[in-house]
Amino acid sequence: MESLKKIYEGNRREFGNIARLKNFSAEKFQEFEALGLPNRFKNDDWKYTNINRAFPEDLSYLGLSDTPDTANAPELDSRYYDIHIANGVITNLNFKLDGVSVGHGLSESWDSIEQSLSRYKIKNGVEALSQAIAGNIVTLKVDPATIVDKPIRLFFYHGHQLEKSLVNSLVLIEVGRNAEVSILEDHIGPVESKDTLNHSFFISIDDNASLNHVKIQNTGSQTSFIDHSKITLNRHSRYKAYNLARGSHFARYELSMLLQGEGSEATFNAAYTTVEGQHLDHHTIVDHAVPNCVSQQLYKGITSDGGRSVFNGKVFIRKNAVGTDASQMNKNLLLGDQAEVDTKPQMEIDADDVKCGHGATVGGIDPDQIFYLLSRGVPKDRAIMMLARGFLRDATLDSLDPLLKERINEELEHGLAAYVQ
Amino acid sequence: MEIEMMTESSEVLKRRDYKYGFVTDVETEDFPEGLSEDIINHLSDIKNEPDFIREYRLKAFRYWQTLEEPEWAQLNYPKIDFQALRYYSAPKQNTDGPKSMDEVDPEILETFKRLGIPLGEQARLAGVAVDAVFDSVSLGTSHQEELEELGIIFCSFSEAVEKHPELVKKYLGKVVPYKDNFYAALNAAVFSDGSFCYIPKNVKCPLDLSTYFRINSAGTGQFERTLVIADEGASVSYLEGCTAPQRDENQLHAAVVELIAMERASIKYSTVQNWYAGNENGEGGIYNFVTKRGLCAGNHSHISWTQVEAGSAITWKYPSCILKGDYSRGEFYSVALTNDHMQADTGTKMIHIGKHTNSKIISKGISADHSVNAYRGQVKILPSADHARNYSQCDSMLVGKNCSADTYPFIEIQNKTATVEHEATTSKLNADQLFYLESRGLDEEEAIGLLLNGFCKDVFKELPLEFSVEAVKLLEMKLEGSVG
Amino acid sequence: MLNISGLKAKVGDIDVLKGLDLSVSAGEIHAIMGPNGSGKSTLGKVLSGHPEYDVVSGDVNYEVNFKNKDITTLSSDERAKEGIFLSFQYPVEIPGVPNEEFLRASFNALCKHQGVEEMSAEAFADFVRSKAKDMKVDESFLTRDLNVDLSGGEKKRNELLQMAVLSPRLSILDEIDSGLDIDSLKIVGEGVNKLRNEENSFVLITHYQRLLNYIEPDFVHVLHDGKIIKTGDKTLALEIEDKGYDWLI
Repeated sequence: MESLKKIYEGNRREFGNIARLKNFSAEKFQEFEALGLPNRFKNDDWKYTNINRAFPEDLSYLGLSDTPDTANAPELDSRYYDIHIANGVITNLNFKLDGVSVGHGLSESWDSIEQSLSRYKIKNGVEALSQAIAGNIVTLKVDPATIVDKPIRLFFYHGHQLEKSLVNSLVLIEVGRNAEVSILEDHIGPVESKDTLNHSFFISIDDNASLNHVKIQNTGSQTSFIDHSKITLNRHSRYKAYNLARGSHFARYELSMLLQGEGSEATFNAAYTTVEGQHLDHHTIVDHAVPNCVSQQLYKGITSDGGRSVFNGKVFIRKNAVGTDASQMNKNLLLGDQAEVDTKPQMEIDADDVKCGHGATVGGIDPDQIFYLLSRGVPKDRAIMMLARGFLRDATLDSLDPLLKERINEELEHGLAAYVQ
Repeated sequence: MEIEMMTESSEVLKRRDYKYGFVTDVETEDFPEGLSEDIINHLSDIKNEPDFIREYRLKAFRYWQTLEEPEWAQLNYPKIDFQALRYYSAPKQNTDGPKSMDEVDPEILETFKRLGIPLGEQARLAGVAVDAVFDSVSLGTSHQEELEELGIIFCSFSEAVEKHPELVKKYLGKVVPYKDNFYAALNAAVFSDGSFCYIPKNVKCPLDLSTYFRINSAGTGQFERTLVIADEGASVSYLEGCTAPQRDENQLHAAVVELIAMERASIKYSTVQNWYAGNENGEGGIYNFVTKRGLCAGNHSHISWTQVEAGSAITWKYPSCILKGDYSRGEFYSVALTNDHMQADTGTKMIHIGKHTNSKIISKGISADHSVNAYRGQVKILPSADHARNYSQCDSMLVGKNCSADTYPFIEIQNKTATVEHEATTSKLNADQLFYLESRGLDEEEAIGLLLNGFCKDVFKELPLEFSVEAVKLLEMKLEGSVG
Repeated sequence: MLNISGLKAKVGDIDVLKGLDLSVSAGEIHAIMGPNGSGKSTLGKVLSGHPEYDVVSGDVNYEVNFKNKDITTLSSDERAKEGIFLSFQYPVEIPGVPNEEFLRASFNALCKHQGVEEMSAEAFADFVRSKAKDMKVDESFLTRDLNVDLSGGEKKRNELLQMAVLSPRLSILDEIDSGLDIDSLKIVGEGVNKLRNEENSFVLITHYQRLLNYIEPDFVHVLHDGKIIKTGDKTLALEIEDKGYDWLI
């Protein structure tokens, strides 16, 4: 906690000249101090994950001047509308587009940012902390009726001279009425980095708008990764998300989805691989607040030797949310002796006229399938990889932009290569 | 229109007059309210208990004092004042207890007759051996002689302490240690009586053994303890039923049941719980906080829990299996029906330790009116449990707009050879289904009964015949009165 | 047996039947045809007392024990007990309830109402199997859950079996032919013909004339906009098959 206080104070020194921001961050830090970091013994949501691992006492403050070496900065990629975000701050972008505006906290009107943030309830200490130390908020707005012709990419990377640091970023995304856009998040970082990356995304999708959202996380193998995404769906809006997680040694994803407009539809799938020394935790909340919405959730993970995967899904169906169609599924493939999977597919249903199903499976590879492939001359590790690939492919969303699908497939292949010795 | 139909059907589930809500007028010997070491010593004195039991109670009591009441369950009720409860109430009788059924207070026998519980001659005719527990004390056990011939011990817990202290000492608290949880500690401190059963090696118990519990006195908690041991190759089917009079205060029932199955032994434990659930405004009713657990100690052993939970204001109950022996099997079949303002938080734990262990969970929750019905379960497969399997199915049915159904499965897998599958669905008592059945001449009550029985049949078929009849009757009784 | 006059009915706020007259005597078969949305299925639902359909005005008199009785106030199960049977266009699936168990409950509810002794499970098992044979319905239907995982055609044949078991006096068959291949249609047609006698009546609600090749109606009515606009014999159906409805409207 001492280290976090120092980080907060360092942050204040740099952003504190703006009175409104100063007050806001003080308020949020107070909230953080009151809530503290979640306790795994007292809070079931943290039963399997010790968040203290991501906040060691020697975590240091990363100042605005500690930017990654610009000479080695990655190049902008013309396949995307590319936005580079280094250490939580926008450093480069390759487009100027009618109907799409990109800004950061110090340039935007603070009023509108604060107003947007106030719509989301803070759930735990980590969330309060993210806001307390978020000086440089990234905003991305897609105006009503704008159809964006290629994916917008948010390319996150980090780097500095410090031993280990907290890299905090906060992104606000608004998709206007009838707009359609695809967003890709890429998260990478130095292999040896011991940083803790703490990302927050606040996404609002207006009436009849559509957002496709792909998140690919492939940060260094000693990095800790925390992701809070809060998505609000309005009338007849559509949200399709795919989350691929394979980097970092400790990761916690918290995805909260609020279906607050009638007729909205959300599909969110994930594929993940957890190998030795990795701890990967997906928490999702889907809140059906209004009638006739659809949510579909399919999380598929492969956990191998020494890895641990956690899934905790909660679907709430509020009293008046009749006509809801909600499904939630977590499927796990276990490889290796020391692997552990903890899964909790949960539902709380307060409306009677709904269709809900949820489930979970955990199991190893079917020996008959392996045998069949072996008997056809496929080497064992190759056979395992083929079966693992087949297992994860299930979660791929067909309707995504072809470029994004290609990226997903590439990343999956890289992830699966680990199983071939 | 649909809204209208749904209200109608939920009306059907409105609490009917609780059939077992009468009070029996017998003189009782009661303790003052409250709990202290003195009370516990006094209890031990009255029961003339050996030191090991007295010490067990005191240790548990001291530990209990360090605990706080658990709050994690999805339950909502005012804090219980444990010092305002009475911890012992027994029908006044000769100090030695009844020697035979003839000596039991006729009022009490009449009570059991009204409940439809066979004791004595009736039991013999019904082919069930019964141990009846009235408030805190076991009233007498039928069929003892026949069972003795086979070496089966089936008696009240007090009698077992007196006659078979070595068995009690060996197994008491082995499956549910007093440190297990708040209510288990409380029970260990103050348990008054209960049933004890031991089936010797390779004996298949020829009768269903049965315990019937009834809370009669006001302001009394009931804390019975049941211990069932099936030795190598033995098997037994055990039935438990519960009722209580209708009172407008809440009463506490905190029982502990321990089952131990040795190699190739099999225990089937069935419960129909119909404690008084309170009135339609949620006043009164039993708080049913029960710890039930079975240990599959030997290889190829088998424990099966079946429960029909239809009563109690609050139920907090997770009959569990520890699958220690290789190839052992655990099963949990449950129907929990809640209506009015009832709250049920129930489920199971299946802990897989041995190799090739297998568990199955079938849970059916029906919630109506303003009730809350939660399934909470844990499946844990430890690294040692190679080739373990679990299949869970948790279905909920909602009747009406003001009830809720929650599912909280915890699945923790530490072995790659495990195969675990969890499925859950929700359904409703559907207006279209009702119309279809009604258009074929069934009235609404029959139609709902048919649908509910259909929803629950995977569980009902696991009940011994006489209990399944009772369970169906119980559901129907909950539905009674829809006409007129 | 059935006398409908000036029947007006609505679903929610929508008026569907707008003054329908129909008279059916014992032993008769009436076919009701009409374009989509004319109110055909509503008529079936109203006659069997579906709670979503409100009768606004008009009479539905049905003969019970040689007396005419207004049935609009009877609940659906009371109508069934008086011998009115609706074969559903889309029979609902009821998981967990085996067909045979359901049918016995239904059959015995009718017996009880008529003061006839209820049938035991064993006797009913024989009885229902003989009916299944008559109706050329596979016995395996009986042990399956009610309508669950049956194809559209199988569901219709299951409706036919129920009709055979319950032997109603007035059967309303709502598009029993739709979704049937020609072989199933034949079986259904033969089944109805077997059940037909001097005392019972049928109202066939249908879209297609082809059903009437197998079941010969005494009357054909054309329903349009909630009213019967033309009545004729079976040649009317052929004419409609040939010319469509436009010439009538």
